[in-house]
Amino acid sequence: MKTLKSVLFILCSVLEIHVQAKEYISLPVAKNVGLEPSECLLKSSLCSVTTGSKEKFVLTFGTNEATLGRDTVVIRESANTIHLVKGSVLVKSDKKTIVKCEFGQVVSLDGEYLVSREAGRVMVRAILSPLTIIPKGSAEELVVEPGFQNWLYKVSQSGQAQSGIPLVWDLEDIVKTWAQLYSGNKVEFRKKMRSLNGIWSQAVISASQRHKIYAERLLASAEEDRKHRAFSQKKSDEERRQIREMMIQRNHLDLF
Amino acid sequence: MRSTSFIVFAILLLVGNLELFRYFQFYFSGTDHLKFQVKTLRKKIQNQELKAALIRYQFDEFKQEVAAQMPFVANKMKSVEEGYPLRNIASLAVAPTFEKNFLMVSGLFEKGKKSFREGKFVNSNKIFLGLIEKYPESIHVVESYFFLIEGKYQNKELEDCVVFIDSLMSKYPESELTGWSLLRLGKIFEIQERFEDSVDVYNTIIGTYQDKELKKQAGTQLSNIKL
Repeated sequence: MKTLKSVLFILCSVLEIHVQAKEYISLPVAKNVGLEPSECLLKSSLCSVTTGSKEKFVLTFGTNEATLGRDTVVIRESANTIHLVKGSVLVKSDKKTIVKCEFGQVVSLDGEYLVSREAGRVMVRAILSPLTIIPKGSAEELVVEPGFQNWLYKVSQSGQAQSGIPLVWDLEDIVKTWAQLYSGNKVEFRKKMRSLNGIWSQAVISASQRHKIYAERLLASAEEDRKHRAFSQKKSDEERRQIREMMIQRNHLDLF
Repeated sequence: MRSTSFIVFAILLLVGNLELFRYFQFYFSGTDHLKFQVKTLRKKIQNQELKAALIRYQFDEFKQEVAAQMPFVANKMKSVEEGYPLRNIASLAVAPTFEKNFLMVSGLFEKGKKSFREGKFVNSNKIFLGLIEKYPESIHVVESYFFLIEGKYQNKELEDCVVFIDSLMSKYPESELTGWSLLRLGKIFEIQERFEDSVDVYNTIIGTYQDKELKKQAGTQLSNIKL
Protein backbone atom coordinates (compact mmCIF):
# COMPACT_ATOMS: atom_id res chain seq x y z
CA MET A 1 0.00 0.00 0.00
CA LYS A 2 2.85 2.32 0.91
CA THR A 3 4.59 1.63 -2.38
CA LEU A 4 1.38 2.31 -4.30
CA LYS A 5 0.94 5.62 -2.50
CA SER A 6 4.55 6.58 -3.25
CA VAL A 7 4.14 5.71 -6.93
CA LEU A 8 0.89 7.68 -7.08
CA PHE A 9 2.54 10.66 -5.40
CA ILE A 10 5.49 10.61 -7.83
CA LEU A 11 3.11 10.30 -10.80
CA CYS A 12 1.04 13.26 -9.65
CA SER A 13 4.19 15.35 -9.10
CA VAL A 14 5.41 14.57 -12.61
CA LEU A 15 2.02 15.48 -14.08
CA GLU A 16 2.05 18.77 -12.21
CA ILE A 17 5.55 19.54 -13.48
CA HIS A 18 4.45 18.76 -17.04
CA VAL A 19 1.44 21.06 -16.82
CA GLN A 20 3.57 23.84 -15.32
CA ALA A 21 6.31 23.41 -17.90
CA LYS A 22 4.03 23.30 -20.93
CA GLU A 23 3.57 27.08 -20.98
CA TYR A 24 7.32 27.61 -21.11
CA ILE A 25 8.00 25.23 -23.98
CA SER A 26 8.96 26.77 -27.30
CA LEU A 27 6.26 26.51 -29.96
CA PRO A 28 7.07 24.49 -33.09
CA VAL A 29 7.76 26.46 -36.28
CA ALA A 30 4.84 26.30 -38.72
CA LYS A 31 5.54 24.54 -42.01
CA ASN A 32 2.46 25.90 -43.73
CA VAL A 33 1.00 29.27 -42.89
CA GLY A 34 -1.99 31.08 -44.33
CA LEU A 35 -0.96 33.71 -46.86
CA GLU A 36 -2.84 36.42 -48.69
CA PRO A 37 -2.14 36.77 -51.62
CA SER A 38 -1.06 33.14 -51.94
CA GLU A 39 2.70 32.49 -52.04
CA CYS A 40 3.38 36.15 -51.32
CA LEU A 41 6.31 35.46 -48.97
CA LEU A 42 8.77 35.32 -51.83
CA LYS A 43 6.96 37.29 -54.51
CA SER A 44 6.24 40.72 -53.12
CA SER A 45 6.70 42.92 -50.13
CA LEU A 46 2.99 43.23 -49.31
CA CYS A 47 1.96 40.01 -47.65
CA SER A 48 -0.50 38.93 -44.96
CA VAL A 49 0.48 35.96 -42.81
CA THR A 50 -1.49 33.96 -40.27
CA THR A 51 -0.34 31.20 -37.92
CA GLY A 52 -2.22 28.27 -36.39
CA SER A 53 -3.17 27.79 -32.76
CA LYS A 54 -0.12 25.70 -31.85
CA GLU A 55 2.63 27.16 -33.98
CA LYS A 56 4.90 30.12 -34.47
CA PHE A 57 6.41 31.51 -37.66
CA VAL A 58 9.42 33.66 -38.42
CA LEU A 59 8.59 36.37 -40.95
CA THR A 60 11.44 38.30 -42.50
CA PHE A 61 10.94 41.87 -43.61
CA GLY A 62 14.05 43.43 -45.07
CA THR A 63 16.90 42.36 -42.80
CA ASN A 64 14.58 42.22 -39.80
CA GLU A 65 12.78 39.30 -38.21
CA ALA A 66 9.33 39.11 -36.69
CA THR A 67 8.37 35.95 -34.84
CA LEU A 68 4.62 35.48 -34.95
CA GLY A 69 3.04 33.74 -31.96
CA ARG A 70 0.03 31.42 -32.01
CA ASP A 71 -3.18 32.67 -33.72
CA THR A 72 -1.44 35.74 -35.05
CA VAL A 73 -2.14 37.78 -38.17
CA VAL A 74 0.48 40.20 -39.50
CA ILE A 75 0.67 42.29 -42.67
CA ARG A 76 4.13 42.91 -44.10
CA GLU A 77 3.87 46.39 -45.60
CA SER A 78 7.48 47.12 -46.54
CA ALA A 79 11.09 46.22 -45.70
CA ASN A 80 10.79 47.86 -42.28
CA THR A 81 7.06 48.05 -41.54
CA ILE A 82 4.52 45.48 -40.43
CA HIS A 83 0.93 45.71 -39.14
CA LEU A 84 -0.19 43.67 -36.16
CA VAL A 85 -3.76 42.59 -36.90
CA LYS A 86 -4.15 39.89 -34.24
CA GLY A 87 -2.06 37.97 -31.68
CA SER A 88 1.51 38.75 -30.66
CA VAL A 89 4.79 39.39 -32.40
CA LEU A 90 8.41 39.49 -31.25
CA VAL A 91 10.46 41.82 -33.44
CA LYS A 92 14.23 41.45 -33.70
CA SER A 93 16.19 43.97 -35.74
CA ASP A 94 19.37 45.95 -36.05
CA LYS A 95 17.74 48.73 -38.08
CA LYS A 96 14.72 50.96 -37.77
CA THR A 97 11.44 49.02 -37.66
CA ILE A 98 7.82 50.11 -37.36
CA VAL A 99 4.91 48.05 -36.09
CA LYS A 100 1.57 49.65 -36.93
CA CYS A 101 -1.88 49.03 -35.52
CA GLU A 102 -5.17 50.94 -35.73
CA PHE A 103 -4.33 52.85 -32.52
CA GLY A 104 -0.91 54.15 -33.64
CA GLN A 105 2.58 52.87 -34.25
CA VAL A 106 5.65 51.54 -32.48
CA VAL A 107 9.04 52.72 -33.74
CA SER A 108 12.31 51.08 -32.78
CA LEU A 109 15.81 51.81 -34.00
CA ASP A 110 17.22 48.39 -33.07
CA GLY A 111 16.95 45.58 -30.52
CA GLU A 112 14.09 43.32 -29.54
CA TYR A 113 10.56 44.17 -28.49
CA LEU A 114 7.24 42.49 -28.06
CA VAL A 115 3.91 43.80 -29.34
CA SER A 116 0.71 41.96 -28.48
CA ARG A 117 -3.02 42.45 -28.34
CA GLU A 118 -4.42 41.98 -24.85
CA ALA A 119 -8.05 42.69 -23.90
CA GLY A 120 -8.60 45.14 -26.75
CA ARG A 121 -5.38 47.05 -26.07
CA VAL A 122 -2.11 46.88 -27.94
CA MET A 123 0.59 46.20 -25.37
CA VAL A 124 4.18 47.21 -26.17
CA ARG A 125 7.12 45.80 -24.20
CA ALA A 126 10.65 47.08 -24.80
CA ILE A 127 13.10 44.27 -24.10
CA LEU A 128 16.66 45.07 -25.13
CA SER A 129 16.56 48.69 -26.26
CA PRO A 130 14.31 51.74 -25.95
CA LEU A 131 11.50 52.38 -28.40
CA THR A 132 8.87 55.03 -29.00
CA ILE A 133 5.14 54.76 -29.40
CA ILE A 134 3.16 57.32 -31.36
CA PRO A 135 -0.58 57.28 -30.62
CA LYS A 136 -2.87 57.98 -33.60
CA GLY A 137 -3.76 61.66 -33.93
CA SER A 138 -0.87 62.72 -31.72
CA ALA A 139 2.47 64.24 -32.68
CA GLU A 140 3.93 63.33 -29.28
CA GLU A 141 6.36 60.41 -29.08
CA LEU A 142 6.29 58.38 -25.87
CA VAL A 143 9.54 56.65 -24.98
CA VAL A 144 9.45 53.15 -23.52
CA GLU A 145 12.74 52.16 -21.88
CA PRO A 146 13.97 48.52 -21.79
CA GLY A 147 12.18 46.63 -19.03
CA PHE A 148 9.09 48.82 -19.33
CA GLN A 149 5.74 48.40 -21.04
CA ASN A 150 3.05 50.76 -22.26
CA TRP A 151 -0.20 50.37 -24.16
CA LEU A 152 -2.28 51.94 -26.91
CA TYR A 153 -6.06 52.02 -27.05
CA LYS A 154 -8.96 53.50 -29.04
CA VAL A 155 -9.05 57.16 -30.12
CA SER A 156 -10.81 59.24 -27.47
CA GLN A 157 -12.99 62.35 -27.89
CA SER A 158 -9.84 64.47 -28.00
CA GLY A 159 -8.99 62.87 -31.36
CA GLN A 160 -5.94 61.05 -29.99
CA ALA A 161 -5.46 57.38 -29.27
CA GLN A 162 -5.19 56.65 -25.56
CA SER A 163 -1.97 55.43 -23.96
CA GLY A 164 -0.84 54.51 -20.47
CA ILE A 165 2.14 55.39 -18.31
CA PRO A 166 5.27 53.22 -18.60
CA LEU A 167 5.31 50.40 -16.05
CA VAL A 168 7.81 47.62 -15.42
CA TRP A 169 6.70 44.48 -17.24
CA ASP A 170 5.87 41.28 -15.43
CA LEU A 171 8.98 39.08 -15.72
CA GLU A 172 7.01 35.84 -15.65
CA ASP A 173 4.76 36.93 -18.53
CA ILE A 174 7.74 37.93 -20.63
CA VAL A 175 9.59 34.66 -19.92
CA LYS A 176 6.52 32.64 -20.94
CA THR A 177 5.97 34.54 -24.18
CA TRP A 178 9.65 34.71 -25.05
CA ALA A 179 10.11 30.99 -24.36
CA GLN A 180 7.30 30.23 -26.78
CA LEU A 181 8.67 32.50 -29.50
CA TYR A 182 12.40 31.90 -29.03
CA SER A 183 14.15 30.19 -31.96
CA GLY A 184 17.66 29.51 -30.56
CA ASN A 185 18.91 26.66 -28.37
CA LYS A 186 18.51 26.23 -24.63
CA VAL A 187 21.99 27.51 -23.69
CA GLU A 188 21.47 30.74 -25.62
CA PHE A 189 18.03 31.10 -24.10
CA ARG A 190 19.47 30.76 -20.60
CA LYS A 191 22.05 33.46 -21.40
CA LYS A 192 19.32 35.73 -22.75
CA MET A 193 17.24 35.11 -19.65
CA ARG A 194 20.16 36.20 -17.46
CA SER A 195 20.54 39.42 -19.45
CA LEU A 196 16.76 39.85 -19.32
CA ASN A 197 16.84 39.45 -15.56
CA GLY A 198 19.52 42.16 -15.43
CA ILE A 199 17.40 44.50 -17.58
CA TRP A 200 14.34 43.80 -15.49
CA SER A 201 16.26 44.45 -12.23
CA GLN A 202 17.55 47.74 -13.64
CA ALA A 203 14.02 48.65 -14.68
CA VAL A 204 12.66 47.84 -11.23
CA ILE A 205 15.41 49.96 -9.61
CA SER A 206 14.77 52.76 -12.08
CA ALA A 207 11.00 52.56 -11.52
CA SER A 208 11.43 52.49 -7.74
CA GLN A 209 13.76 55.51 -7.96
CA ARG A 210 11.20 57.32 -10.07
CA HIS A 211 8.49 56.41 -7.60
CA LYS A 212 10.73 57.50 -4.75
CA ILE A 213 11.35 60.85 -6.43
CA TYR A 214 7.64 61.13 -7.14
CA ALA A 215 6.79 60.32 -3.50
CA GLU A 216 9.40 62.81 -2.24
CA ARG A 217 7.95 65.44 -4.53
CA LEU A 218 4.47 64.70 -3.23
CA LEU A 219 5.69 64.95 0.36
CA ALA A 220 7.59 68.16 -0.38
CA SER A 221 4.54 69.54 -2.11
CA ALA A 222 2.33 68.60 0.87
CA GLU A 223 4.77 70.27 3.28
CA GLU A 224 4.93 73.38 1.12
CA ASP A 225 1.15 73.41 0.96
CA ARG A 226 0.90 73.12 4.75
CA LYS A 227 3.37 75.97 5.22
CA HIS A 228 1.52 78.10 2.71
CA ARG A 229 -1.81 77.44 4.45
CA ALA A 230 -0.30 78.28 7.88
CA PHE A 231 1.18 81.50 6.50
CA SER A 232 -2.16 82.44 4.90
CA GLN A 233 -4.00 81.72 8.15
CA LYS A 234 -1.53 83.85 10.12
CA LYS A 235 -1.84 86.68 7.64
CA SER A 236 -5.60 86.44 7.66
CA ASP A 237 -5.67 86.47 11.50
CA GLU A 238 -3.40 89.53 11.54
CA GLU A 239 -5.60 91.39 9.04
CA ARG A 240 -8.73 90.54 11.03
CA ARG A 241 -7.08 91.78 14.23
CA GLN A 242 -6.06 95.05 12.59
CA ILE A 243 -9.56 95.63 11.20
CA ARG A 244 -11.08 94.90 14.59
CA GLU A 245 -8.72 97.39 16.26
CA MET A 246 -9.55 99.98 13.65
CA MET A 247 -13.29 99.46 14.18
CA ILE A 248 -12.89 99.84 17.92
CA GLN A 249 -10.89 103.06 17.52
CA ARG A 250 -13.34 104.64 15.02
CA ASN A 251 -16.38 103.87 17.11
CA HIS A 252 -14.65 104.91 20.32
CA LEU A 253 -15.46 101.55 21.79
CA ASP A 254 -12.16 101.41 23.64
CA LEU A 255 -13.75 103.84 26.13
CA PHE A 256 -15.78 101.00 27.51
CA MET B 1 19.11 -19.85 -24.71
CA ARG B 2 17.88 -21.11 -28.06
CA SER B 3 14.26 -21.13 -26.93
CA THR B 4 14.60 -17.51 -25.66
CA SER B 5 16.01 -16.38 -29.02
CA PHE B 6 13.22 -18.20 -30.78
CA ILE B 7 10.56 -16.52 -28.62
CA VAL B 8 12.12 -13.07 -29.23
CA PHE B 9 12.25 -13.78 -32.95
CA ALA B 10 8.63 -14.98 -32.95
CA ILE B 11 7.47 -11.85 -31.10
CA LEU B 12 9.38 -9.59 -33.50
CA LEU B 13 7.87 -11.41 -36.46
CA LEU B 14 4.39 -11.09 -34.99
CA VAL B 15 4.84 -7.38 -34.30
CA GLY B 16 6.26 -6.89 -37.79
CA ASN B 17 3.33 -8.69 -39.38
CA LEU B 18 0.84 -6.73 -37.32
CA GLU B 19 2.48 -3.45 -38.34
CA LEU B 20 2.46 -4.55 -41.98
CA PHE B 21 -1.20 -5.52 -41.69
CA ARG B 22 -2.05 -2.18 -40.08
CA TYR B 23 -0.20 -0.33 -42.83
CA PHE B 24 -2.00 -2.20 -45.62
CA GLN B 25 -5.33 -1.83 -43.85
CA PHE B 26 -4.74 1.91 -43.65
CA TYR B 27 -3.50 2.08 -47.26
CA PHE B 28 -6.57 0.37 -48.71
CA SER B 29 -9.14 1.93 -46.39
CA GLY B 30 -9.12 5.23 -48.33
CA THR B 31 -8.63 7.33 -45.20
CA ASP B 32 -5.60 9.04 -46.71
CA HIS B 33 -7.93 10.53 -49.32
CA LEU B 34 -10.21 11.81 -46.56
CA LYS B 35 -7.20 13.12 -44.68
CA PHE B 36 -6.15 15.04 -47.76
CA GLN B 37 -9.67 16.48 -48.08
CA VAL B 38 -9.66 17.52 -44.40
CA LYS B 39 -6.26 19.14 -44.88
CA THR B 40 -7.49 21.06 -47.93
CA LEU B 41 -10.63 22.20 -46.14
CA ARG B 42 -8.62 23.32 -43.11
CA LYS B 43 -6.38 25.34 -45.40
CA LYS B 44 -9.43 26.96 -46.98
CA ILE B 45 -10.88 27.82 -43.56
CA GLN B 46 -7.55 29.34 -42.51
CA ASN B 47 -7.50 31.49 -45.65
CA GLN B 48 -11.10 32.59 -45.12
CA GLU B 49 -10.34 33.51 -41.50
CA LEU B 50 -7.29 35.46 -42.63
CA LYS B 51 -9.37 37.41 -45.15
CA ALA B 52 -12.04 38.12 -42.52
CA ALA B 53 -9.38 39.32 -40.04
CA LEU B 54 -7.87 41.62 -42.67
CA ILE B 55 -11.25 43.14 -43.57
CA ARG B 56 -12.06 43.66 -39.87
CA TYR B 57 -8.66 45.28 -39.34
CA GLN B 58 -9.13 47.63 -42.32
CA PHE B 59 -12.53 48.63 -41.00
CA ASP B 60 -11.21 49.21 -37.45
CA GLU B 61 -8.32 51.24 -38.82
CA PHE B 62 -10.73 53.33 -40.84
CA LYS B 63 -12.98 53.89 -37.80
CA GLN B 64 -10.01 55.07 -35.73
CA GLU B 65 -8.95 57.37 -38.57
CA VAL B 66 -12.42 58.91 -38.66
CA ALA B 67 -12.43 59.25 -34.85
CA ALA B 68 -9.06 61.03 -34.99
CA GLN B 69 -10.43 63.52 -37.54
CA MET B 70 -13.69 64.20 -35.69
CA PRO B 71 -12.41 66.92 -33.28
CA PHE B 72 -11.15 69.03 -36.22
CA VAL B 73 -14.51 68.68 -37.92
CA ALA B 74 -16.39 69.31 -34.65
CA ASN B 75 -14.54 72.62 -34.21
CA LYS B 76 -15.87 73.80 -37.55
CA MET B 77 -19.47 72.98 -36.65
CA LYS B 78 -21.49 75.89 -35.32
CA SER B 79 -24.31 73.85 -33.82
CA VAL B 80 -25.25 70.26 -33.06
CA GLU B 81 -27.83 70.27 -35.87
CA GLU B 82 -25.23 71.44 -38.35
CA GLY B 83 -22.97 68.57 -37.37
CA TYR B 84 -25.57 65.91 -38.08
CA PRO B 85 -24.81 65.48 -41.83
CA LEU B 86 -21.10 65.13 -41.08
CA ARG B 87 -21.69 62.51 -38.43
CA ASN B 88 -24.03 60.74 -40.80
CA ILE B 89 -21.36 60.70 -43.49
CA ALA B 90 -18.85 59.33 -41.00
CA SER B 91 -21.16 56.48 -40.03
CA LEU B 92 -22.04 55.63 -43.63
CA ALA B 93 -18.55 55.97 -45.05
CA VAL B 94 -16.88 52.84 -46.33
CA ALA B 95 -13.16 52.12 -46.31
CA PRO B 96 -11.64 52.82 -49.76
CA THR B 97 -10.28 49.27 -49.98
CA PHE B 98 -13.80 47.89 -50.39
CA GLU B 99 -14.36 50.09 -53.42
CA LYS B 100 -10.96 49.08 -54.75
CA ASN B 101 -11.81 45.39 -54.31
CA PHE B 102 -15.18 45.88 -55.99
CA LEU B 103 -13.55 47.50 -59.03
CA MET B 104 -10.89 44.79 -59.13
CA VAL B 105 -13.51 42.00 -59.08
CA SER B 106 -15.59 43.64 -61.81
CA GLY B 107 -12.46 44.00 -63.98
CA LEU B 108 -11.55 40.37 -63.38
CA PHE B 109 -15.07 39.22 -64.25
CA GLU B 110 -15.08 41.18 -67.54
CA LYS B 111 -11.70 39.70 -68.40
CA GLY B 112 -13.03 36.20 -67.80
CA LYS B 113 -16.13 36.86 -69.92
CA LYS B 114 -13.96 38.15 -72.76
CA SER B 115 -11.84 34.98 -72.71
CA PHE B 116 -15.04 32.89 -72.58
CA ARG B 117 -16.52 34.70 -75.62
CA GLU B 118 -13.27 34.13 -77.53
CA GLY B 119 -13.45 30.42 -76.73
CA LYS B 120 -10.32 30.46 -74.53
CA PHE B 121 -11.95 28.25 -71.94
CA VAL B 122 -8.79 27.23 -70.07
CA ASN B 123 -7.99 30.87 -69.43
CA SER B 124 -11.57 31.85 -68.58
CA ASN B 125 -11.90 28.88 -66.18
CA LYS B 126 -8.75 29.96 -64.39
CA ILE B 127 -10.02 33.53 -64.02
CA PHE B 128 -13.50 32.53 -62.80
CA LEU B 129 -12.11 29.96 -60.34
CA GLY B 130 -9.71 32.59 -58.96
CA LEU B 131 -12.58 35.07 -58.59
CA ILE B 132 -14.76 32.53 -56.73
CA GLU B 133 -11.96 31.58 -54.33
CA LYS B 134 -10.65 35.09 -53.67
CA TYR B 135 -13.90 37.05 -53.56
CA PRO B 136 -16.66 34.65 -52.45
CA GLU B 137 -18.89 37.54 -51.39
CA SER B 138 -18.77 39.30 -54.75
CA ILE B 139 -21.98 39.92 -56.73
CA HIS B 140 -20.37 38.19 -59.72
CA VAL B 141 -19.90 34.81 -58.00
CA VAL B 142 -23.06 33.11 -59.32
CA GLU B 143 -22.34 34.21 -62.90
CA SER B 144 -18.71 33.14 -62.47
CA TYR B 145 -19.86 29.70 -61.36
CA PHE B 146 -22.13 29.50 -64.39
CA PHE B 147 -19.39 30.48 -66.85
CA LEU B 148 -16.93 28.15 -65.10
CA ILE B 149 -19.35 25.22 -65.45
CA GLU B 150 -19.93 26.03 -69.12
CA GLY B 151 -16.18 26.35 -69.69
CA LYS B 152 -15.50 23.03 -68.01
CA TYR B 153 -18.27 21.41 -70.07
CA GLN B 154 -16.82 22.79 -73.31
CA ASN B 155 -13.41 21.39 -72.30
CA LYS B 156 -15.04 17.98 -71.63
CA GLU B 157 -14.02 18.13 -67.96
CA LEU B 158 -17.29 16.55 -66.91
CA GLU B 159 -16.23 15.41 -63.41
CA ASP B 160 -15.18 18.95 -62.45
CA CYS B 161 -18.37 20.24 -64.04
CA VAL B 162 -20.50 18.06 -61.73
CA VAL B 163 -18.51 19.20 -58.66
CA PHE B 164 -19.08 22.89 -59.47
CA ILE B 165 -22.78 22.36 -60.27
CA ASP B 166 -23.11 20.65 -56.87
CA SER B 167 -21.37 23.60 -55.21
CA LEU B 168 -23.60 26.12 -57.05
CA MET B 169 -26.70 24.10 -56.14
CA SER B 170 -25.82 24.02 -52.43
CA LYS B 171 -24.88 27.72 -52.24
CA TYR B 172 -27.36 29.44 -54.60
CA PRO B 173 -30.28 27.04 -55.17
CA GLU B 174 -32.77 29.83 -55.92
CA SER B 175 -30.81 31.42 -58.79
CA GLU B 176 -32.09 30.92 -62.36
CA LEU B 177 -28.50 30.35 -63.43
CA THR B 178 -28.43 27.33 -61.13
CA GLY B 179 -31.42 26.02 -63.11
CA TRP B 180 -29.52 26.44 -66.37
CA SER B 181 -26.51 24.69 -64.84
CA LEU B 182 -28.81 21.84 -63.77
CA LEU B 183 -29.88 21.53 -67.37
CA ARG B 184 -26.21 20.99 -68.16
CA LEU B 185 -26.03 18.38 -65.37
CA GLY B 186 -28.90 16.49 -66.98
CA LYS B 187 -27.02 16.53 -70.27
CA ILE B 188 -23.87 15.19 -68.56
CA PHE B 189 -25.89 12.35 -67.04
CA GLU B 190 -27.21 11.57 -70.51
CA ILE B 191 -23.64 11.40 -71.85
CA GLN B 192 -22.76 9.07 -68.99
CA GLU B 193 -25.88 7.01 -69.81
CA ARG B 194 -27.41 7.66 -66.40
CA PHE B 195 -30.82 8.30 -67.85
CA GLU B 196 -32.80 7.85 -64.62
CA ASP B 197 -30.69 10.52 -62.88
CA SER B 198 -31.10 12.70 -65.91
CA VAL B 199 -34.92 12.40 -65.80
CA ASP B 200 -34.87 13.32 -62.06
CA VAL B 201 -32.81 16.44 -62.80
CA TYR B 202 -35.15 17.61 -65.60
CA ASN B 203 -38.22 17.01 -63.41
CA THR B 204 -36.57 19.02 -60.61
CA ILE B 205 -35.97 21.91 -63.02
CA ILE B 206 -39.59 21.86 -64.24
CA GLY B 207 -40.91 21.71 -60.67
CA THR B 208 -38.62 24.30 -59.14
CA TYR B 209 -37.84 27.16 -61.52
CA GLN B 210 -40.22 29.75 -62.95
CA ASP B 211 -38.30 30.69 -66.10
CA LYS B 212 -40.48 29.59 -69.06
CA GLU B 213 -37.58 29.08 -71.47
CA LEU B 214 -35.75 26.96 -68.89
CA LYS B 215 -38.86 24.83 -68.28
CA LYS B 216 -39.37 24.43 -72.03
CA GLN B 217 -35.77 23.29 -72.53
CA ALA B 218 -36.04 20.81 -69.65
CA GLY B 219 -39.33 19.48 -71.08
CA THR B 220 -37.77 19.01 -74.54
CA GLN B 221 -34.80 17.14 -73.06
CA LEU B 222 -37.17 14.97 -71.03
CA SER B 223 -39.28 14.06 -74.05
CA ASN B 224 -36.12 13.22 -76.03
CA ILE B 225 -35.07 10.73 -73.35
CA LYS B 226 -38.52 9.13 -73.23
CA LEU B 227 -38.48 8.69 -76.99
